Amino acid sequence: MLDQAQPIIRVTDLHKSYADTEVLRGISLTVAPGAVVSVIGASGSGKSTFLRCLNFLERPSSGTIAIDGESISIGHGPASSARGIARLRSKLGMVFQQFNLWPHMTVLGNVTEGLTQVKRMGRKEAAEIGRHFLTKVNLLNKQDEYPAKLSGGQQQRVAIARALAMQPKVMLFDEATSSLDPELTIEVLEVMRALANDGMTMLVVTHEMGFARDASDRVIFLHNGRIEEDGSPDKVFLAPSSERCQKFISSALS
Amino acid sequence: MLSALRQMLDPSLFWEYRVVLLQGLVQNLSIFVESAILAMVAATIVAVAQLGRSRVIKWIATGYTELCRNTPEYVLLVWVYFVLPLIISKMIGSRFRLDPHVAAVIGLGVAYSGFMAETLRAGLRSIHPGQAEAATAIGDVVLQDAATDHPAASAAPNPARHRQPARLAVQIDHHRIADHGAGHHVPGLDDQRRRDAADPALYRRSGALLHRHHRGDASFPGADRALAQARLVVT
Repeated sequence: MLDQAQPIIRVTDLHKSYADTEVLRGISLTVAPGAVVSVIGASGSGKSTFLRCLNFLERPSSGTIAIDGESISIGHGPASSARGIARLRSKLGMVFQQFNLWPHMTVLGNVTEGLTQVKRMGRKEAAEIGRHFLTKVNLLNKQDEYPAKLSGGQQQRVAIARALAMQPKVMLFDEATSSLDPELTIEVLEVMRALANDGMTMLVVTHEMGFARDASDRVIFLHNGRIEEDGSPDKVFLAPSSERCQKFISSALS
Repeated sequence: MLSALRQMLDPSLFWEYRVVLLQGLVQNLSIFVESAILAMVAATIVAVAQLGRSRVIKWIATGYTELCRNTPEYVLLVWVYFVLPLIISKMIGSRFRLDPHVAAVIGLGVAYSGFMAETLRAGLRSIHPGQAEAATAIGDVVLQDAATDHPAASAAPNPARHRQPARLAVQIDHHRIADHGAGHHVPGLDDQRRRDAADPALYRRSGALLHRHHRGDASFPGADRALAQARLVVT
């Protein structure tokens, strides 16, 4: 169990500000391999920014991010290199609120694009891997369709397959179900639960309190760019120590 | 008059001059291919320059495309074949002549690079920011400059990754269709959002909000949700 002790994500004192607004005010966090961590909090608390900073879609102002041994520090020491960032990103898969599929490519094309263009894999091999992951999200029968023909839930599942195909160590979900109708939310959450059961390390920014409570090992409540509450779902939902967290949860559940 | 016309359309004449005509065709095609290659290379460089960060380079690139697009090809050809050699001769102090074939390739290549640069620029611009982000997140380096505010992103050119034209062709078509169409149709957006996009006041508000966000002063409770919505409207 030595591996378990070695965290797969280690974030130290992460800050992000836009001009003079501080969005993240020093976030430190370690996540063990295989853990499913839900990040909850009000709009504007910095949840999405935090997730986007992890793979440098937003550049953090300062702090250290280490994913699976690949570490980047900002603000002190040598400047982060494009190569370092690329290596970091290769360990992270990201799923967006708006799916962000490429509309001019088929479902399979979306899933294999990264394999052929970034990993330089042959088309045949890439298609095989792509089909494997489309099977995982139960969409193999849609491989030749274009995204516009799919429902929101199906599109999001394709987006998950696209991220998985790159075989990341950690999956980041940025409000993956927030733009879906309730009945479509279920199918996406099912895929996410299955992924969690497979042992994937997941960081899930979500408004789905049900998922946070039932499917995650740990829940983090962000407020004003700081971690205000951090613990098991039972602790955070049933006995939060911070008043704000208490308020947020009671209003989210009502 | 009629006999002249008949003589003009006489197929035997074509046969008689077949060698010259074929030579002309080959010449024509080779100028076309060579100038197309030149135009593509120049257009790619200019389009990337127009999307870059340096204001001076942007101005130069914009000036170049405007000049190329607004000068008739014939005038450009005259300049390249007659005026350019004169200038070069003056500069090197001895007589310099340009081969007519080379002059034609340069003249037409330059002329079309302006149009192509503009098409490429518009195509790159029309890629939805979210799609560029998705590409960045899986490790694509071409579009990451569009998606991030990270200075190192621009320092990672990867010539092997220039498969963009295939993607662009569609994006450009899409862009054009979007321009001609009434609303700002983006495949995948639902009807509500399309109606939102057709609402000019909302469009302006969303644009203003995004602008504030880019300047860095769009932070208020609920900002990330409002921004996400604004991004959907302004697409």
